[in-house]
Amino acid sequence: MHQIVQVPPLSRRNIRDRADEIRSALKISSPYFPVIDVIEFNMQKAIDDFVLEVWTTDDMTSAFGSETHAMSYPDELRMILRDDVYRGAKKDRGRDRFTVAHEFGHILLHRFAGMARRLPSEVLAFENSEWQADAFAGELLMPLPFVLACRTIQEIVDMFKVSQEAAAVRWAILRQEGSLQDG
Amino acid sequence: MAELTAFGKEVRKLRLDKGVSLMDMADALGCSAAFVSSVETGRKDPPEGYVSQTAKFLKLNKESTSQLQKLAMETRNIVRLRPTSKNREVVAEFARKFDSLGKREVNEILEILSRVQGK
Repeated sequence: MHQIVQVPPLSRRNIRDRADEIRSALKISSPYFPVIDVIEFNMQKAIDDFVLEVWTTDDMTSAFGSETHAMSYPDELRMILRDDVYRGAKKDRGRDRFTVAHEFGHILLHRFAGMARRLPSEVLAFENSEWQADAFAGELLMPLPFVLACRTIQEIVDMFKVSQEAAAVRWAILRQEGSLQDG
Repeated sequence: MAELTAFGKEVRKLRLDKGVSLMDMADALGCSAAFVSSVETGRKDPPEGYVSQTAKFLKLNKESTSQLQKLAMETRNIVRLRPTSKNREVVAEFARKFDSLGKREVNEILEILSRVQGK
């Protein structure tokens, strides 16, 4: 049965703060966040042991199974991206940018986090490592103040270079928490 | 941490210092980003001509270039194994006791190895 990796709980608010810290540390004030360049240059230069690796689809598949776009080892400071995902992120493909931001979340939030494998029914959303990484990617790529200025999902897509799907999810989450008003 | 070879470490540092991405490097060398990455992490050996092309693209001086050439030579002498514990044990024991082996033992080992069909 499918298992979930349980980590210490983080609220969306905690995660939003972490994403904001990264933006201000890097002095990025534009809506668009250059996530792959931050990983490839800022992170690799700032943290000696951090390594971004790019693997072929074949190597990725034989090591982790098919449909694996990326893999991170937070404790080893190691991020592996599939060749086409790396290239896609470089070329501002929304889906690939989200994948990289999601892995960035694992590295930042789950280093020495203490992980345990659990059944889905045993884990709350706030302590699910995948939920946390997704939340981080959303907050990092689409910061709240800028999203508030968007009137449509398409505007979010264009402003932040994200996929339609990521934009729609972001919109729904912010509406649900009451940050976005109807109409 | 990924285990970078000395060559990989050096070439990666030079590349990042110049602000050159894996993709830039791959496009300049006419290979994939995955290939450049695998050479830097020591998963693959730098092929013939790799160092001189890299040096040219990164505009390295003579000193850095010959240092890279040296490290590339060294990295090509590394034998890569699937890292099972048994593999490590055999190789470590072999290396440790190699100098104390007699002629007869060396010949016995060679005999065992010659019975194995190499890939």
